Amino acid sequence: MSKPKDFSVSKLLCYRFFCLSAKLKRFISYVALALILVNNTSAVAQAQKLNNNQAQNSSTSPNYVAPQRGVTVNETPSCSNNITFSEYSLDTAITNQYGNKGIVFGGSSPFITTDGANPTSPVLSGSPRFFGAIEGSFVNPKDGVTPAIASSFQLDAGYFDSVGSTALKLYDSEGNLIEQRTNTGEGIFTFTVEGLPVAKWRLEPIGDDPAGFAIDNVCFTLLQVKESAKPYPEFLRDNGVPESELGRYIRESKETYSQSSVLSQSQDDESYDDESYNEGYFEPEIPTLQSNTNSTTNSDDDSGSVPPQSIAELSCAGIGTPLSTEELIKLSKQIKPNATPKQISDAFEAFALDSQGLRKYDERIFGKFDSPERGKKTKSKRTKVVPDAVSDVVTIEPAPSGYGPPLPRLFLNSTFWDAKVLKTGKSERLSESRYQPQGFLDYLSHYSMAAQSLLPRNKHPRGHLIYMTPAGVGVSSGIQNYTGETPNVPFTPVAVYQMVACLKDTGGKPTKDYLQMGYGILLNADFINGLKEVNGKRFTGYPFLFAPLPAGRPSSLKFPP
Amino acid sequence: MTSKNSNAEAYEFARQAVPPIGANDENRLASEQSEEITVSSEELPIEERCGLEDIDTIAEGLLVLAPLEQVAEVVAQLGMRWERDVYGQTIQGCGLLVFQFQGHGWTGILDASVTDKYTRVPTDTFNDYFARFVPNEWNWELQAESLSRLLQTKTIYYSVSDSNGSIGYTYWDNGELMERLEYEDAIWEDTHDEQLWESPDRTFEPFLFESKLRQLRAEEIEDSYDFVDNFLCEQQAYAATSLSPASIQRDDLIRLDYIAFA
Repeated sequence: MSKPKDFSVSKLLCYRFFCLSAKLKRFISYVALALILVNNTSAVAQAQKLNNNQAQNSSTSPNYVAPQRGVTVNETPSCSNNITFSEYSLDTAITNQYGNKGIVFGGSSPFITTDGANPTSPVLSGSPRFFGAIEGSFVNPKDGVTPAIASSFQLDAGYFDSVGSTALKLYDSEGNLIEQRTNTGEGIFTFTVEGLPVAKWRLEPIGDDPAGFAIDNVCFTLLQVKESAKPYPEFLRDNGVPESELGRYIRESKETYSQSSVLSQSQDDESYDDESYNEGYFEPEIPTLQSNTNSTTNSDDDSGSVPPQSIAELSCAGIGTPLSTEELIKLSKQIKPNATPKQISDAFEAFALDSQGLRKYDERIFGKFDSPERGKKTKSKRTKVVPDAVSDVVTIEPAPSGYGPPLPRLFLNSTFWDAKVLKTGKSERLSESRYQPQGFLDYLSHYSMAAQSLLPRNKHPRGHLIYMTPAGVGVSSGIQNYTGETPNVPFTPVAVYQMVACLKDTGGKPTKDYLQMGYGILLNADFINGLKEVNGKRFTGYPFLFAPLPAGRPSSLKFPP
Repeated sequence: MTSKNSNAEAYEFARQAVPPIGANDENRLASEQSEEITVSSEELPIEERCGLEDIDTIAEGLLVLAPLEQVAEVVAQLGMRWERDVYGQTIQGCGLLVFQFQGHGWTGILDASVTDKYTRVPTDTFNDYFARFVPNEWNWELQAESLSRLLQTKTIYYSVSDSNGSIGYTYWDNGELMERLEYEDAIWEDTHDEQLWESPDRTFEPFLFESKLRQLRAEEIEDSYDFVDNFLCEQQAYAATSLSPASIQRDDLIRLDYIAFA
């Protein structure tokens, strides 16, 4: 697809290729090929001449010389990334240069070279030239490192002069060989893989091919499983769940969820209408917190924690002014002059749950949640834990083929919500309230439905812990970087969020809905996305989480009339 | 069902639970020896439960060492209406729940807000539905003293909050303050080395402990949560925090009354 480089139509198509729909791409490809073949015979002849001169040692076929063309005409699966090896100059050793597209190459020192037998040369060859193995590992394009899975991929390999000479080995995220294919034809052979969770592939010679092989036109779509702490209608809709199906995934208070879209249009745009959110692999670029990635301990000090004030500003951005604990008390006293600390905490908790459309957790349905670790810490006095509210983690897996309805999955009671009214500058820690946070994390990371899922890691949900607080309250690094303490029990990292109460600007007019819970800010993105090692552990390969949780709806402190 | 006699026995046992002032070391209370008493458990029959029902909540309540009828009669004088045996019934307005567990000598008092935590409410309504039902004129600590004096008995006011990490109680006998403990995570952190905050050796000393019953200083109490649980167990007292239907069934109660204040 890349040669001749000075051919403007092919260059244009190359650059625009993956921005166009599949059908349009194919149509334009055929047109372009026709243009090349019909109207640019001189360019083709020139290329053929060059290739003829080099055919003796610069081709993957001793006999065949390919006419050059600009784009591949192969039928491709839905393909959001396409690599032609025209992006770098000849002889460039290729390793992680395409990491930002979602693939890292390896094997036998691959490099870019020409291939007279390939119509879309330049190509990628292993070492020695045309006889070395080539590997590709799918990665998260955001960092170019974290392993990812392709829902489909395709590559052109050859020129094969004998059938069955080369094997394509496919591996899953655990490194297991899941399938092996060979070239079943001669010439430039297109390998197409769909419906398999491929994390890595390797193309290697297994038989005799006199001039070896190279690859070109690597095209793939990475599988993205989206995950949310709650089945927000916006989340379900944005990921393709039909409107008529929403009710199946929303367990409670549907009427409040339907009213929860209190974001301004601009906020909506920023969070959910970004093109990359809908079409790209990962979440849109949004403000996120950068925590200290050098931390390697599980101590519960505050080093490495993001200043609570920054969290408050992010959480309340575009909503109102972050409300501190002192301001909460002052506001409470204005409403109820003799309000006790207990009543203020109660009123705040009721407000926070109401704003997020949650109800107080009802033990009658599922009981309390087991936490052996809390039991150990409290000498078996408290072996269970109860959050203020729970919700269900939801993941949405796109149809493997790229077509058809997505597959939502619910993981009951795998998100815990808890309101905390601590003094400004204080942090919630693992040991607070008789090791309650330890209990939350122990349950969510080991025993929740999300943690116990048997899905492969790239589809594996995580437990979520969400603290609802006034501004200025922290969540310790010990909570954020919890790596479990129970040996031999499978552990899944827990996503820890914080959302802050925001005082709305009512323009000086009295209003009953003067408060609103802000966006849920993900505190430990580096940890749960595998970008940070803690206690010698790095949890890679899970669905990526970056986006904040939606803000609540306007509400108020709930005091007696 | 537990007979009246067994309730009377429980009452008498509880009356004599706390030894006199000046008890020597051999007679140290279990609350000072944190591992000796099994704390309340949902798995135990109601008659054997003691300590706090739950600590993952925000709650305060009152225990009065007297039969329900006697306690409710006094409390009802402060309210507008006394509704008897309301378990499973709809209650309205703000008020107090007065109840006694089978096999227990203590009568408990909680504000009626505990019930609305389990009620599906239309959350788009502003004012009334999330209202806490505790009467404005009700002051727990004052009432603990008052009821102790009026009924010439023991009372315990207790509070717990997982929102700010606090726990505490005051214990009255014949209107006299006998013991008080107050613990709060934030205050504990202010007075302890940061390195201890998440250490396995972490402690939970109260910031306030005073007692006419025993020679014990706050810094000698390693774990306020254990101490409160054990103190309640010594009194054969089960301190309800939510009357959660998950753990409290109708048969667990001698009766549940409602004193309406509005």
